[in-house]
Amino acid sequence: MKPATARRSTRIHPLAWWGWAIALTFAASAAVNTWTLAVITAGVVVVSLTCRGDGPWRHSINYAIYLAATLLVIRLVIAIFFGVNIPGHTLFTLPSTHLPQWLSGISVGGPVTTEKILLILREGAKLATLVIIFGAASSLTQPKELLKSLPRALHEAGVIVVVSTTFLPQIVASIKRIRTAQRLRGSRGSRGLSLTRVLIPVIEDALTKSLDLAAAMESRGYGQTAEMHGRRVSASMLLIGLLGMVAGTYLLLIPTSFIDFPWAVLAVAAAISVIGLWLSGKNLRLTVYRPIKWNMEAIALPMLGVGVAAAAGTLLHTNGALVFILLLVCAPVLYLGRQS
Amino acid sequence: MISLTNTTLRYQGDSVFADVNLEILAGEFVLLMGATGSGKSSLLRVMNGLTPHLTGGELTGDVHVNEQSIRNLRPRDLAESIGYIGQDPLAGFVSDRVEDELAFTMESLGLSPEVMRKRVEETLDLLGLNALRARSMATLSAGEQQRVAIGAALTAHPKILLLDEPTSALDPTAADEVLALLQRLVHDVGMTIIIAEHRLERVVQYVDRIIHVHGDGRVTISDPITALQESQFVPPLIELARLESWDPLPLTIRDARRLAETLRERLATASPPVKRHNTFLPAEKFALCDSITVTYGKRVALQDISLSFSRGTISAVMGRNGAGKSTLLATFVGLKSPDRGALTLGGHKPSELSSHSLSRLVGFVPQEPGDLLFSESVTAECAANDKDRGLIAGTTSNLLNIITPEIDHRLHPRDLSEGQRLALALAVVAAAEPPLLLLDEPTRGLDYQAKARLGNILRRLANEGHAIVLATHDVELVAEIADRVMVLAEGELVADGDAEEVLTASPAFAPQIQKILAPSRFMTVRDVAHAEHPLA
Repeated sequence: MKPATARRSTRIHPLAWWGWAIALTFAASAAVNTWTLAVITAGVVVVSLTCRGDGPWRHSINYAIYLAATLLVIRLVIAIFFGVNIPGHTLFTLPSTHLPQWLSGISVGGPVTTEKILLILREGAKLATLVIIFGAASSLTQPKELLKSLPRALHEAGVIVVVSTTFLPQIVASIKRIRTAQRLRGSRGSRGLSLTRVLIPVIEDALTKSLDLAAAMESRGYGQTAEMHGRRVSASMLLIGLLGMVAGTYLLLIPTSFIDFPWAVLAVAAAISVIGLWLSGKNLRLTVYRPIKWNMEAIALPMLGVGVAAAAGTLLHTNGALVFILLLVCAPVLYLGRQS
Repeated sequence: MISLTNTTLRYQGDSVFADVNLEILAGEFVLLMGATGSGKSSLLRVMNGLTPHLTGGELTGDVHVNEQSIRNLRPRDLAESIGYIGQDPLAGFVSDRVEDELAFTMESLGLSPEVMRKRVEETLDLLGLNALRARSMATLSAGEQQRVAIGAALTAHPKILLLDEPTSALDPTAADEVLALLQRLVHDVGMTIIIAEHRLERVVQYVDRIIHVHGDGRVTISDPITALQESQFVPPLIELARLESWDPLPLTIRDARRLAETLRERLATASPPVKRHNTFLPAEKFALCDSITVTYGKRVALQDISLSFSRGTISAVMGRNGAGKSTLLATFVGLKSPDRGALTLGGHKPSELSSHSLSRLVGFVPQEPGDLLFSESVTAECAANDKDRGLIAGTTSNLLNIITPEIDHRLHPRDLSEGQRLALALAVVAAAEPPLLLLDEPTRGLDYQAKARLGNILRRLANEGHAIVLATHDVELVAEIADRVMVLAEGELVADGDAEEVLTASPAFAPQIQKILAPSRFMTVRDVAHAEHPLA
């Protein structure tokens, strides 16, 4: 195992990685050319494989790649069987049926052309790239450090997530333990019967464990600094703000005559929510142990991402431009990649 | 530091303890002792307000901590003055990394990052945890978990620590480490520590005073000697002192050795302790394994183990936490198949049997007996077991009546005492008369009387021809009842032989009586009594 300090020194603020990733998703949406998408995807995979830490979340990039590939295949299969026919070079023809008039846009079977397959792949590539970018971002950031950097008002939600991630494996372990114990009791009843036999001890065990946890958290001062007064104000502000944002979005998407300035509604609602968050955070006297600081490396990350987005949106699709974009995406490897 | 005045705790009208008056001084190391279910944990929790705030119940009288009444304070408000560590430290952990766990209390208290950083480093040094700082909680051994739990309480800089059975899950060496650590906190840091514990033999030598929860509502506090003179629960050391009428009572092995000089001389000429081996039955080797290796992925849990368990004998499997005891048990009950080597139960391979026929060959009482129980009453539990196993109706409850006649069959299994619940689980498992009976750490949370009763039950089952195997840390129990002892270390069998030989040869596993009477081979008070008064 590497000494803890060595790992700590290269800690990057998790929001920096997410900023980088979000900028890259803009780049991917801006890219018209499938080659640009391919280059971005390749770069992202390289970065996540070289810069990720050693926690269990490091594998998210692998799952993201599987997910992206599966999505592509599913899209391809569905589009080959159903969907609009596109004229061009026919690869093969599937037997087709005629659908009733009101489904005239869709056909089942029919000729499958090279153009159709290319179009499907091109459309799918964008989604696949987005999935892989998110997978990369989550393999690069420790989920708990991300929770730590959330606004203080969301601290309690964060603690719930953290506690359940440590608590759930314990419950899984106790289910396993109890199932084996019951099996050795020689239960030979029906399946339903054996389910209650496992469930009752499991629930009892989980309750005992939660009471222990509650006792431990209580005696360690959890919630001591949460002052209840003023909570109502901040909570109602948050609620109003969120409702306002929903309304604003609705107005923005479905133009109606009675309000002419949906953007203003959205902005005011957002402001109210932010103030609500800030207020409820102010009521908590919580602190964070070893907060991660924004260092130069971290600040550079989202900027690199924005650079990629700009390049993908403006540059012509020459080979040179593609190489440039690839280098830009991979730039974090140069200063954050593992030395080993 | 802590004072209780006329404190009474009632649950639904029944008082747990009544009119308790006691005062604990700053810097004291106090032991809380009493039978299982006598209200030790409740009393401990009264001191930081967890009772009644979290558990309910009606508390009258007053509790003062640092001259301040805590009746209207929540436990969380006391976090800076009292640290509390529950029975199962793992269940109380909030984070997955040692370092973050240590910081959690301080984060809740809103300390500045600089202070937190400094205190975490101090605590890591104080408890010798620096090597573990980046480790995940789940990978820690039980002893390490206990030390981290203590550290997590210490970072808030409390003046008082309350611990509920901190050593019950630990092997003797890890328990000694934790207790030595507590003693260091008392001596060097001036901490006040109150510890509830059943295993008095591990603790009495360290403490300044003992709070005795009598179980009938009375709670008294006195110096250790007075408390132990009055108590029904005493470690073997005190039992021996009573037998020999030593005065004053020795509290440490060292004191006892001084007093035992003449006794040792007498015993040197006395006939050696009788073997407990059951000589009526031929030692039929029921379960055997031949050079088995068991692995979990890359980790080798058992390496090249050959041993056998015979009918009519009680074998104890001992070793550090994580030495492979549970894996050995799991292999014998067919949960784990050996990667190499052969294992047979009465000529059958457990991995090839259906779970029903396997349960006729081997019975397993898990560490948490509640894992086995699912019915609403003892009666229903016994009836369900008869039905499951195709036994004649009443078999299980008859066995239970033999094991513990005083059990109330209408109760819910959860409402039984620890000892009774264990007895019920044992009855459920033993009713089918499996020749091999395995018990995983059966004495956790049992007081001396419950342990003695368990010993009698197991001896009776062994005499009926069962092969009994215990995986345990409890040296005194092993000394009392085991015929054979096997010691595992890092998955290898390092010792296998007569209990007497193995226990007396090892400093870590030697029982108290043996430590006092070495070099003679007496291990229990009963043996000594027998040698001294052969006719009694």
